[in-house]
Amino acid sequence: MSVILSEEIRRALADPGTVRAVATVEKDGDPHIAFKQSLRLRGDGNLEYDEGIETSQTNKNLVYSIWFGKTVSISLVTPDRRSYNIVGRPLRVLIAGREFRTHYTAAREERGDIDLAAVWVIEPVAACEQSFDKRRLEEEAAHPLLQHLDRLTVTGQ
Amino acid sequence: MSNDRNWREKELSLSEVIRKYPDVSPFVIIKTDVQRRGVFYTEKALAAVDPDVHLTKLRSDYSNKEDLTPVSLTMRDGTSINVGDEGSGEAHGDRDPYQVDVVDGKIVLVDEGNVIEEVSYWEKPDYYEKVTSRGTPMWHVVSPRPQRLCIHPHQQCDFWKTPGYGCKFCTMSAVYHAGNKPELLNTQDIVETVAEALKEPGRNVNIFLTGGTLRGGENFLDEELDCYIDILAGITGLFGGKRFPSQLISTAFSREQLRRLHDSTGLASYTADLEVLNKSLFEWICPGKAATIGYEEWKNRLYEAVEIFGRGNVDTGIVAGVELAQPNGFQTEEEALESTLSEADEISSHGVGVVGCVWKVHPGSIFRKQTSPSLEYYVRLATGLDQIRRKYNLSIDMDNYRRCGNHPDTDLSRI
Repeated sequence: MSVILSEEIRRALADPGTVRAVATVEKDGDPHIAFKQSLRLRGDGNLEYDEGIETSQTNKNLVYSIWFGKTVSISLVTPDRRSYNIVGRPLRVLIAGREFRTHYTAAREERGDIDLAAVWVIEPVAACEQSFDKRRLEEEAAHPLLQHLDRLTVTGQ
Repeated sequence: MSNDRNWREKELSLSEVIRKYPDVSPFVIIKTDVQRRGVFYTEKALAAVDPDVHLTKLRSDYSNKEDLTPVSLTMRDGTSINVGDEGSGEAHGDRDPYQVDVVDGKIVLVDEGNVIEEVSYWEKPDYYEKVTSRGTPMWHVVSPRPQRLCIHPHQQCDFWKTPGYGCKFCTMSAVYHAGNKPELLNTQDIVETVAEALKEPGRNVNIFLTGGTLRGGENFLDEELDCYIDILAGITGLFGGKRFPSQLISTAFSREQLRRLHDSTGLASYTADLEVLNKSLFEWICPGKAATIGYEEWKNRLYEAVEIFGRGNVDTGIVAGVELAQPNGFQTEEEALESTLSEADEISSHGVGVVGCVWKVHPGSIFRKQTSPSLEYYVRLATGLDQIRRKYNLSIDMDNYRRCGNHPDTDLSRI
């Protein structure tokens, strides 16, 4: 079931200064993280990114994911250090055709003589903010017993 | 529709095969079964075809169609399904074809009322409606796959001109005689069409040549060799004389012919199809190839091609399943698998990849009354061929999922 991304996440995706990492799993279970700065929001609410290398580990892992119904994890860190996590499901990969050609042409106009292996379309199935200050407040509210005592004493305050 | 109404009771279903082989891509299993059984397009599916966008008409070595059915399909993972160049919705043999329908606005494969998977239609390239300087429609000259340009300079086969020499699964001669195709394409037309096609950004990753055998020339097959060298020399010029991603499937050339082919063109990879990996079955199924070159010599020529083109740049194709054709084929799928994979291992140990096509039982072939193997057989064979290439660390870039699109085993090599 897809989710609609929040305004904050949409703003993060629209900010060119946001760092975007895609975490995937190999068929043997090994995790792999790569930064994909081309990750962006599509008009249909899904995410997409340009994969430049056919045999990259991320590309292989996304094939594995779409084949066997696995999800991927996407992390965004904004210039003001807010962070977000999106769990996504690879929906389709564009490797040929008019839509692919549009991306291929745009990527080459932007980045020069590069190739484009694929454009992966990823459906968000869960999303949340992971910024430390926000998570700390949530943690203290939900799990008040999981704290170091010295922080709670009068002198520790 | 099906000739054998009980065929479903005799083999595992698609969903049973997917459950039984959880480590094999369900996409590849679906593709394999669709290629094995064929497709039928519903009215809604045909209404979704836009002839300005989608590929419908096709002229190639095995095709000559101008109707408005799609040439073929692509899956969500990028896997091509080659449902057959006929595109007219015929079943391949005894089994019911899949339906291509539109459900909830999506084009989908349907079997017994169940939606199996979403698909899309292959798109038409930019050059398709143009003509060469000689006035030849370019779509008559180069046939496209989603990312490959296919050139079939000789659209008939000399083996079919000798009674009893044609390969028994092949329809090339039947298609040629049924239509109005020229036997040989014009080289200038080909080079002009390729030059035009290469203007389209982000489409083509490979140029592919194949056609029927040409036996003539000073030495056996020199005529075929000269034909390909002539075309390839022209195309190589488009790449400034450099080697370029390309594949030729020819009759098995001698070492001297291979050397000339390699040194005088920019061809990057070479294939000569054994069709079936068993000497006695080769002699029965491919009598022309067997009488003029022979099974062992065919293999030797592949090994010599590795010396010239390099490891990972030579492979051989099999029409997977014909080894079970009767009355001379293997009696059981188990026996066929063991023998085929054992021979594939031996051939691969020499640096030659083995790739399988799903045998489509065509009405125009001598084998038109045969029955292709079970889906499970194809899954086990594809898995075995993929594992053999991994065992010998043999790259299959030359024939990967983006190129032919008719090899379930090379689809599996993506991960």
